[in-house]
Amino acid sequence: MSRNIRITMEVNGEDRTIVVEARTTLADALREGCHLTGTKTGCEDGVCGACTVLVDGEPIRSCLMFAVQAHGRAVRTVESLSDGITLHPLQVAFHEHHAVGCGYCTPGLLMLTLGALERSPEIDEDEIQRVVAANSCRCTDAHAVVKAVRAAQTAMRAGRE
Amino acid sequence: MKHVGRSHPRLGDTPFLTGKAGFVGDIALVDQLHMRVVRSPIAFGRLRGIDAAAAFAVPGLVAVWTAEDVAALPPVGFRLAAAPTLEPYCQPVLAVDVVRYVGEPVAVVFATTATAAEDAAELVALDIDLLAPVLTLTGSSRGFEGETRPAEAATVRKAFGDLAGAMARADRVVEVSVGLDRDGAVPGETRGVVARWDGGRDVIEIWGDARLAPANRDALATMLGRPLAGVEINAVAVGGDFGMRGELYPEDVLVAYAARTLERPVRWIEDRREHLIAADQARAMAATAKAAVAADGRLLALDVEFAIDQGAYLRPTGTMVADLTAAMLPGPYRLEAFRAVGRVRMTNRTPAGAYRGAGRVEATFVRERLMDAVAAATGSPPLEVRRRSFLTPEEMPADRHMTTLGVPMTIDSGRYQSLIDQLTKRFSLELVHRRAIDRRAHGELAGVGTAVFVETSAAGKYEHVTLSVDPSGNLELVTTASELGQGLSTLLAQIVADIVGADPERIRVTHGASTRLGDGVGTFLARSSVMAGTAAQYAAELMRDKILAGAEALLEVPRERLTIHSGRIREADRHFGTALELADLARKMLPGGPLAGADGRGLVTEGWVEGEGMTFPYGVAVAVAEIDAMTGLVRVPRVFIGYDVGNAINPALVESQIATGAVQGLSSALFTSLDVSPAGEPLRVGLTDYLIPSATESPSVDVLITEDAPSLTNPLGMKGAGTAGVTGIGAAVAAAIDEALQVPGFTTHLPVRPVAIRNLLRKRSGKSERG
Repeated sequence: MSRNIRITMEVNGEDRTIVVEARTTLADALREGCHLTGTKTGCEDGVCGACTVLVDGEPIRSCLMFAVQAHGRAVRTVESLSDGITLHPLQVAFHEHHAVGCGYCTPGLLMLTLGALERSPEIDEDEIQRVVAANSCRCTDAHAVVKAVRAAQTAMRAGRE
Repeated sequence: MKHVGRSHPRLGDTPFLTGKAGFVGDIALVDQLHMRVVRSPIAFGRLRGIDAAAAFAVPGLVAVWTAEDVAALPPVGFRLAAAPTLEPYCQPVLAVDVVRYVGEPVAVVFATTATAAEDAAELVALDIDLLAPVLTLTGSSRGFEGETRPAEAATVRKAFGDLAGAMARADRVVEVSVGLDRDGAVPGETRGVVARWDGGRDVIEIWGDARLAPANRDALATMLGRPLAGVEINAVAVGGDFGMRGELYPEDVLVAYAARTLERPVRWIEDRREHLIAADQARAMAATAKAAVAADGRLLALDVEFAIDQGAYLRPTGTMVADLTAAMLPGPYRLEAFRAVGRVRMTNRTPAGAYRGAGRVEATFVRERLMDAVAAATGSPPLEVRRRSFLTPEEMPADRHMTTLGVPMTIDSGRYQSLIDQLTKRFSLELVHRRAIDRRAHGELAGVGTAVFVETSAAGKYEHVTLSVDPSGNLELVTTASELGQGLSTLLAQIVADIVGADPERIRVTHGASTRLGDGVGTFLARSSVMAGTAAQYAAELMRDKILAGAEALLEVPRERLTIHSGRIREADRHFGTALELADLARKMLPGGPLAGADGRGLVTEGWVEGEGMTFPYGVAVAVAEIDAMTGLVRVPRVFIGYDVGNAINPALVESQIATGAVQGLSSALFTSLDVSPAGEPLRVGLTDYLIPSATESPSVDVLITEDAPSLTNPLGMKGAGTAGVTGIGAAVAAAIDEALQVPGFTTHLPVRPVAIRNLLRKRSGKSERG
């Protein structure tokens, strides 16, 4: 049906070469081609943001990006946040502030807010709320997520100093 | 340290934070096939033919099935309250001769990749003769052309007392007609299921939502003609359930049957469009309610007729929503007489099932709108009208003289007025009210509304857990109840930790474990903390006894002098020194050994609890609404909820359940509904059309949890909390809007349409201009 294309992208610091169809989304390429299933799809319309990953540092909806568009670019997924022993300050804060519900939207929220904090480390609470509002979630308290991101911001600032 | 009552961070968050949690879509099995469902694009029609020839040209296609190919499978039956009269309303796994809603499965396609299955499904041509669909409750009384089954599948009737007498004695009778639109759970993750036939063991292994695994396993085994041991349902991580997921759907049966028949693993993951047209929907109802009011303002009687839009088929929950709606109508009020008639009406809409707060949301909206109408009619403040008629603590337990879901209804405990008083004081609600009055005086449209509600939880006959200590001193609690993101595992670990004397971190809760436990019921109606929690308590008490008996024998110290803390057994009167580690004791108490305990099983115990009636938690929801006069848009910046949970095992988890439930309730009140075109085509087919409130629209939710009325049905006094947030919001928001507009009884229907408010405001300003 569709032509197969070989692409190479840097995924979580490692070069990955996979074969995809032209129509394959980055979300599917990560989940099926790279076996990184932490990235979720919730709507495949670019609305819910469960599939948010960082491409060259910017949060993007991986369901709206074709895998071929990620060729030669650096992708970071939720799997990059922790080495399996130590959690990232954002992960710690989400845990401590009861900001995980069913957990399905959590990877997208983590990558979205990580991208925002890396780009603008000093954003204020209103801006954080607007960032969090970009993703939808049905069972986590959005205000708990905002609180968690604020706490992580402080922890990340302390980490830099 | 005591763990019950602490806001312990959830155990088991790490897999969700690191992307390791295994949801059903994350499972990939070698040689798996992908199933794609061909769905009816027509709301009502006669299925003349299905032509799948073109689909076979797609590389990777393995099979296409229609109703003929699954003729051996019976329709999906009932989990609750089956009755022969209801059988004509059961859904066939694939449509036979007639299609009854847009989204109904008509055929299934199996292919080696998901994309091939999608490509092939699009090439399956359906020949359907159109019939006139019935899409609304008002239209269904004229019946369906070409249907043999009556349009009213069932009628639920509940009554007590002398209604005619109470009506005759009433000083006045107040009446309202109100309704709710269709909405749905719409969780973050769509539905999905994976199945594999293990030919070596002759077992169909299924991965999916295991909330009701025991019942679904039994139903599937029966449908597939297999022994119960020939079907296993394995729990996976679940991206939001809310009562919608977990019930047996046609797709579940098809996947299990295909895995056996095609002898390859089969995977089905729904897309969002399918979810919005084919997963259970809920809430749509219309009601006319009358209150008989005495001269002193007290309620004498309620008389309610309501109809529920059931959609095209009955689901495994049968008539549960209608039954609960009827039973929960009296709420917290004292009544001399009561009558409810609930009609379960069939339409050409997606089948309706349970959704968080099922029946309680509907009942609360009808009753509390009626109470506000009584307040308006009698010129009394809304809270005063309610106060006059509350059942008092002295009247508890209060027999409601009826049954619900087959269980006699006795309200176990409740201090309703006290909860209102505490909530008012805790959040200075007097000021909130005064502020709204002040804003109105300055020309703003702001108002405050209150709804009082009674909830129910813990139905279902029994629950069973096992508890064990392994030779490393780790505990495992096994339950068929499910962790669905509500924090059940943490609650259960906290209960066990306190009794056994172990750290919660050392307790693994294996949930949804119907493959480990032959029995158990599962998770619904906010029952898990109560039922599984009580079973866990019993198992933990037995475990503590066993540990102390073993330690007594080993240390030769009387058990009265021993304590257990953090997995260490100490002599109570010594400040220092550990007499024995739990791990050492577990090794010495292995089954078969001399210290294995009276039953010879070592450190293994069971907890079994039988249903001792339902519990009736209760709450108050207060909403602040502000309306933009230009657009008619309603904003709800603040919500206050008071809720008595009997015993808050983990207050933060209860608060989180309530806060998120409130946002879901607000969603149905202001933003979301699942409406259709005049031809019955769903208008909400993606998250671009179905607008889930985000952080920006989410109000600040202040929660007061009280423990003033512990349940009498379980020793820990627990009451469920899973649906507490959602239940009162709609009614509270409606009242707040009425107050903001200063038009009592304006809001009769949810969601509120800004256009209706705009029209009202235009009419009003037109009048003032003319005047």
